[in-house]
Amino acid sequence: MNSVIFQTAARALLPLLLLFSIVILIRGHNAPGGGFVGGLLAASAFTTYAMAFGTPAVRRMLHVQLHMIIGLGLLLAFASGVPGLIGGSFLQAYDKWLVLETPGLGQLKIGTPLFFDIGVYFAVMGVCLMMIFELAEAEPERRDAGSPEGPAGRGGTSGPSRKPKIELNPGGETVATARIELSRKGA
Amino acid sequence: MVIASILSLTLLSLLAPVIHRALGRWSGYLFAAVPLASFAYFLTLLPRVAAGDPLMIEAEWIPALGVSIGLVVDGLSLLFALLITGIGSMVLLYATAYMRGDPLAGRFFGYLIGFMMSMLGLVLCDNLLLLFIFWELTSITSYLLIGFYHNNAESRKSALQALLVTGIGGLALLAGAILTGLAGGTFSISELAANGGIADSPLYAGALVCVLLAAFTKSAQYPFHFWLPNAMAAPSPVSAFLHSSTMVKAGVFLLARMSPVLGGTQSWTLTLGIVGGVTMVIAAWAASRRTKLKPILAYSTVSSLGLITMMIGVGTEEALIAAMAYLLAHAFFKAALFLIAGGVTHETHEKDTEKLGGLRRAMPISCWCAVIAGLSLAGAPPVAGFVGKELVLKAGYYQGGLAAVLLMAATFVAAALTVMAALIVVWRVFFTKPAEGVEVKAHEVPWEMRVGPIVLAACTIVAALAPGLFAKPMIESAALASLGGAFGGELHHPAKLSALSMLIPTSLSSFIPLLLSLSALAGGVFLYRARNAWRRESGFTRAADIYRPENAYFRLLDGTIGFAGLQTRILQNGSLSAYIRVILLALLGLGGYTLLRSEGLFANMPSFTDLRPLEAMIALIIVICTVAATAAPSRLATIAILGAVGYSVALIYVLFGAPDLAMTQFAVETLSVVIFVLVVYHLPRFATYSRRRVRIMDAVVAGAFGSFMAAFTLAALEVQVAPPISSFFAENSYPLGQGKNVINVILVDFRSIDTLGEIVVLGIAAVGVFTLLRLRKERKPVEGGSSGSPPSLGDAPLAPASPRDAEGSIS
Repeated sequence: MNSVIFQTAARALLPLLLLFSIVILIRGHNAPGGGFVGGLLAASAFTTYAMAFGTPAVRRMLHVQLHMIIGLGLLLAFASGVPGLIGGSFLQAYDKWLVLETPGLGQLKIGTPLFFDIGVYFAVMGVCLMMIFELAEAEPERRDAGSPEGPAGRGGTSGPSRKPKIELNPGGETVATARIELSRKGA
Repeated sequence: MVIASILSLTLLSLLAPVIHRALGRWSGYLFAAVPLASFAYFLTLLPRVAAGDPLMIEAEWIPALGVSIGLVVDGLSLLFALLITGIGSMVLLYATAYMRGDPLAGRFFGYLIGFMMSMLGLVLCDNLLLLFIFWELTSITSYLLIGFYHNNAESRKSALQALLVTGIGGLALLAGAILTGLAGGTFSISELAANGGIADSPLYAGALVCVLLAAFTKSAQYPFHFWLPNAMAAPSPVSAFLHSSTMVKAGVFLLARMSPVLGGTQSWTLTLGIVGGVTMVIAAWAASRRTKLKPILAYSTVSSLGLITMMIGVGTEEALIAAMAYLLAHAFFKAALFLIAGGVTHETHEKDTEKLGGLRRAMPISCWCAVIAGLSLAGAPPVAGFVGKELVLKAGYYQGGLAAVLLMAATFVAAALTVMAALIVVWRVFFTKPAEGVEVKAHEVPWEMRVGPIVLAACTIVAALAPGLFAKPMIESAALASLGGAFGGELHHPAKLSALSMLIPTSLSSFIPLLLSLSALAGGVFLYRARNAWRRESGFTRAADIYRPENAYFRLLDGTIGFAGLQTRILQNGSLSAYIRVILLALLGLGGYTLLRSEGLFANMPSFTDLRPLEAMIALIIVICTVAATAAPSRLATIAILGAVGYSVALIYVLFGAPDLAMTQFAVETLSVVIFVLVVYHLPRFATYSRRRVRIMDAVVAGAFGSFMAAFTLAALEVQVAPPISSFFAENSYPLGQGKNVINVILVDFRSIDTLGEIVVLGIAAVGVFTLLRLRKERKPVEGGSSGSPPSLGDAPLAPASPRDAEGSIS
């Protein structure tokens, strides 16, 4: 979105929202929150940033690919169940390996449930981002055969010379505007 | 040690490809050494088991379902365990040379060892449900091995056929195991046998049918026999191991194992006797008409399995000794013959016996091993096959009356035909001249491929001439276990197992079998000389070809696929609105029916008098938004309105004190709107496609469903099927879960395995979205782009300014 206001806001919002999502994640055991909501919030944070600067900016920022994040989350959640196998059953919780008194969050119990929740956090965040980004980056189906406009203007040089996106709008609806708004940003 | 032998094979199977890559051609020796060590261990158990002291190992596994890891080493399982590990290590050694140079050899060893593990588990386990698991594992590994040459369509088809036929048997086994367990009150086979079986239970008939179906499909009994000859698409070591000496004997093993539990009744005896006898004769006839090496051996295997089944059905002491003796002899000679047949094909690249010939000089060692194994197959003295066949005839003779005549006649016919098959496989290939114009060039096979046939041929002779060495204790303790006397029983008529003593008849009961054996040999030689006339087409053979059971299998397969296509076209025709209609109508019909049938559900309707104004307002907003959503002029408007509905519902959660739920709902709703907008971008132009009549019908369905849900929700307030569990969670959240947020404690602690399942589902959904969109991209032709990257990234929302950015960052 080529709006200076939105871009400035997005830049500031990203760290704040991420921090907030982590707070929500950690305090979840004793107050409303948890890995699921935290993950959704983190996904929202990155989505906001992607609206302002495009999905590649976020992909660069994350350094790892999204399916790695999903895999990491599942692995963490699964691994947190393994200690329970010792003298118990899979996923049986060990709550109090370490109890920390933290400012602002109160008592923080480091144990398998916390790691499980972190796993949920990453899995949910990765899944949401993957769906959103893949949909955002996918090429629309062409319905009017004979006008190959897919990679229009891609011929070797670069993007800036491309035509306005309105032409690609499939429905002729308001979406067109929304889409342009969401998509263009001179990085 | 018993468990260790199974576990070591499991580990070896999983690591086989890695080991093969690391050690190259030397890996085969390691693979052969591990089962050999197990073999040595099992051999040390033989004196103990023969003395009537079986080994029992018991460990809990799923106590809630009564599944324990019960292992038992009695005579029967020891006989099979020795065959599996012994022949298995020879086959692995053989495969080292046979598969040399095959790029997929590592995988092949993995499958083969995996099969060995499953088979070993199958024969050692004492629990019916555990038996079922190993049974299925053998089916799956067999599928992988038959289809090993997976770029060959015939091979894939045969593998699928074997999997489907034995898979149906596997399902029947599960049903049979459960019925048997219910009837007998335990899933432990030894306990069931000790309790005297379940023949008096009302569930007996069902259990019997299921178990017999499983055994008949696995052991290729008529009319399920057709998969076994087709399974010869597998590499020769596989045929030798799975389809002659071990896997197909799993069915026979099951029959012997269950004989003390299900046997002894008339239906058992008659079914097994008739099916076994028919299979034996038909398969021997089929074998005698084939000309290719492996199909002849395959049909003669089916015939032998029929014979063993028949003997288990007879069920007397003599019959079971005969069954076990023949089983042992068959494992020796048939594995040897398959290994030699593989060697012959390996050296000459020729499978047709009518073209082969004169290999005696080129392959002398293989030749003499084949002669011994062939004698055993033909039932000629003085080798193990002769002893087995004599015992079978004798057991038939002891039956007396009509049964004796039928049993001996069937065995005689099959024996004569088998003699003919043996002559084709051995005499024709090694001793006669090759066909005109065919030049057979061959060398002796490498030493790894010679060890197996030599050892097996030696066993064939030793078992017949010096039975006391190992054959007698193995056969007798196995027969004792099949009679249900593994724990301290003893045989009343210990049989003479020496071939020499059988050649000197002392009574009528030993003279008649000897006479029949010798006449069968003469008949077989006569048939062999007349084989061209014998193989000629006739009206009878054409009819047999039309009405063979395999055609029924193909019709059933085509029918199933046709039906699947039909119901897919009706139920999943690609129209999303039709899907929703089907789902809603089904739920409406089934749920509405239940709701109407229940009485007194709406006796205590909640009063709406204490409705707060705020609640009423939110409800009103929801209703208005819903109506507006159906009338919205564009998709974007619909999405926005649905978002408003979602937020309003979240507000209700807030009002009723569920902050966690509300928070999640807000976040989900926000992201859904984003995803919806992105999806809409990919949808076709928004238009009214359906006719007015359809739209009215949809409105009726939607209205009815809405009313149903409302009524259902109200009714649910009144129905209490079980005491609510929420109070337990509320009380124990802190003491047990160490958390004050009950919802979170449920999610990450009490019900964490559910949550784990849910995030796995989420991950799979994301992978689905990813692949669907990416695959769609790949279908598009790349136009004008000089680079190979997907051309589309720049065209989508949220996308980068420059396509170069996209290339740098995505995959």
